[in-house]
Amino acid sequence: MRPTFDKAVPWRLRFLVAIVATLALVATACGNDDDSDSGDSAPPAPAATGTAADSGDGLSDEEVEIRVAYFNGAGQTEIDFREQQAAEFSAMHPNVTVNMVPVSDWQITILPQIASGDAPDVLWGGTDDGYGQMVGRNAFRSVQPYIDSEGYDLSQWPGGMLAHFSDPDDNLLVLPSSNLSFNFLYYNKNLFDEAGLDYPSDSWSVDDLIDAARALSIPDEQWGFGFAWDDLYQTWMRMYGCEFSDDPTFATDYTYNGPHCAEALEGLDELSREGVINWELGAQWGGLAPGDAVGESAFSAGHVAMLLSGTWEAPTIADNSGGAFEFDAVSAPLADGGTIQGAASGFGVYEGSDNPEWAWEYVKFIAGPEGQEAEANEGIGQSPIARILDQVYCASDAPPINKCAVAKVGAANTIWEPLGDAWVPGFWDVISPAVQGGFTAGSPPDWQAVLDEAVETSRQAAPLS
Amino acid sequence: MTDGQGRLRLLSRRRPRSHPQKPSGKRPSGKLARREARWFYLFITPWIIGFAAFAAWPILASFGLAFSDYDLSGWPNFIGFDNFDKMTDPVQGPVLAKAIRNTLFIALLVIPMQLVFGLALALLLSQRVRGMPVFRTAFYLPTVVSGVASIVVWIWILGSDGLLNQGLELLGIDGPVWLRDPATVKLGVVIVMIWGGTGGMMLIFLAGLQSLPAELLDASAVDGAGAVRRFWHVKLPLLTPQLFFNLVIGIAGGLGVFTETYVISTDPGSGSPANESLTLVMYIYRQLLQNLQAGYASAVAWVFTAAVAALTAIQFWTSRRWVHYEYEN
Repeated sequence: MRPTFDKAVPWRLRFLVAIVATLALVATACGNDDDSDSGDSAPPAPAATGTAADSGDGLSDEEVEIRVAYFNGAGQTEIDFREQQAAEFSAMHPNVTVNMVPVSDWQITILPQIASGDAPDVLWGGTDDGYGQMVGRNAFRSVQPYIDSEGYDLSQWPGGMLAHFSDPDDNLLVLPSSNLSFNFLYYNKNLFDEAGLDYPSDSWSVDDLIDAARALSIPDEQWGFGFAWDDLYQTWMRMYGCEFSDDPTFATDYTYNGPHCAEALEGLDELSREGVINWELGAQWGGLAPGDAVGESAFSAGHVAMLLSGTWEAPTIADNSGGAFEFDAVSAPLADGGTIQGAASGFGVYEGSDNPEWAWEYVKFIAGPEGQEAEANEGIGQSPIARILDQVYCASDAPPINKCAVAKVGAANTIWEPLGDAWVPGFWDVISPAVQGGFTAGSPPDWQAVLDEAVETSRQAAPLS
Repeated sequence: MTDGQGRLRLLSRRRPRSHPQKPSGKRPSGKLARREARWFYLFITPWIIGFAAFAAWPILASFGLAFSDYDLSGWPNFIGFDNFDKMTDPVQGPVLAKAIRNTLFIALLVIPMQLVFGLALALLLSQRVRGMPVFRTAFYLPTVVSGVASIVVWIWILGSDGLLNQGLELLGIDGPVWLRDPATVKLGVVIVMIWGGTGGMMLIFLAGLQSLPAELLDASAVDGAGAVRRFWHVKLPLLTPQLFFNLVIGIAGGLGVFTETYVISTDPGSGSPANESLTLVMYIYRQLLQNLQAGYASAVAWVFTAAVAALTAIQFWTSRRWVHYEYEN
């Protein structure tokens, strides 16, 4: 039997209509309002000068708001610094409001925003944090037209770095502002002194490093060598001369089963199984220090004699070690043909920005030489510009003493992750479990076979060409 | 009375009970009804809008995406069943199979143990002991503590020289590096999940125990049933609705394990070491947010959803045979 309040049906209908209408409005409001073609549009020309509402330099005098997303790697220090930069920019350009958006989980935050067409006007791009995927999604508007029209001077930047941040037609997408090379071999001077060993030097070979690591190891107590994080086995492979792809920027094939790749892993596996390396992949073989401290914390605690990492680690080591020991750094040794792995980053203009001219102004402001100098003074990032390295980074008396030489070796030899969407599923998703499985297997695997199989899987999983 | 049919006999001997008050079937009519309806729709509208916009629409959209090549750029293109074929191809097949194996391993250990421990704790905490509220709060606390925060503590407890291994060392056992050894990482996850999930089940059992009809328990005691018999033949049958509820929720939760395996990895979400902590939901997460394969991730998610739905349906179907509701004849 139907309910007795049938007369209420019209009300229900009315509410239903209201709900549908509201939903439609919500859907419209949440829809992609980006009218631009996200993919194939040519870079726009810079704004013409002399329009009705411009300041004479091609920039509008109208009130504008630009959003700037950056990867926050230095916590509150970086947030304060970036906010200060934004305030300075707004002081110079009172019609521009800059909203800074610090992001920790870069890829999973920014890539969906790019997909929805609602990303910030200025985007940070880091080679180890989805820059390749961002390029694959045409996230960046080329800044080359601005550079060409303004005659913006790029001569201070290393050419290889500019090439890595350009598209195949040499149009610059991102203005690089930082280059972090993973070639800082930190060493605990006290442990070397106690063992009666000479300190590491620039003339060291990889074999010298291995010999010293073994000599400095005391089972379950002290470890000769450690990685700041486990994936640095890839840096180790590069030290031996292993190439991961046929081209470091625009890769068309995976080559991480090529010359020296298996050799590097065999040597590393030996050290791991001897309990010489402080890392989690060697946990079964005695590779974890007391309290499971790994990386910087194990080194700072004095359990690890040598640590492979980058320049950013030095202040933390100084703080956490509390002066318990002296430390310095040398550039990690390279075999013939060896290279240094690193991560570079910079800022670019979002393809869908409503205010690309102002976004480019801001990019120049924070990623140009003055912005990089300010960053260097703050101890954030590491400028790829040699002058700033010399004037700020090298002039500082902060440890390690040898940092300037190490940084310069890194700047000259660093290789970055290739571009493209396929690299993450094709390389990272395949090599990580394969290599982790090898290091944790009950007995040493045939590393060449492991890598051959992995490369074949990579080619099937995500072809590069 | 004490043979294997004791449970049924005890149940059959219970005194007839009046059913809970049923609605009379009469509903307000006329002006009052319209006013009530108006308020009903007014109050429910925000929820319906929220549900439609943030649950129903994404669910429907993901179903459509499962048949597309959508990679979070441009527009999705229809590709038929390619995403479903991909689940068994030589590249994704082995990884997905490993994720399924890992998930089943964890779920098959976690769910029964949570049920057993939850019930055991509920039995203990239903005793009349001084300070019982404190004990109840203590055992329920893990359920309300932030998952991530508690897992971080467990990473320390399960460390190579963590609390657990120190305890094992006292017994002369050289404990493994639980969360870093491929052979033990899933066991570590199981331990963490049992600790975190048992409290919720305990609470449900406790509520069930407290609502058991006293007359049945008294009657069984008068008939000479001991504590063990009363548990097996009176309490447990009467607790089957709670057991069923916990089982349904437990299976859905156990198969959907994510937070624990995400946080315990050195590189969150990596499934390390060697994909041994890669679970099904983490695999979907990886495909969606790391590899940006929204179409493929949606396809896997829908297969997973269908599997959980089928399992749930089977549970409901079989429940008619073993779940006893007190008001049933």
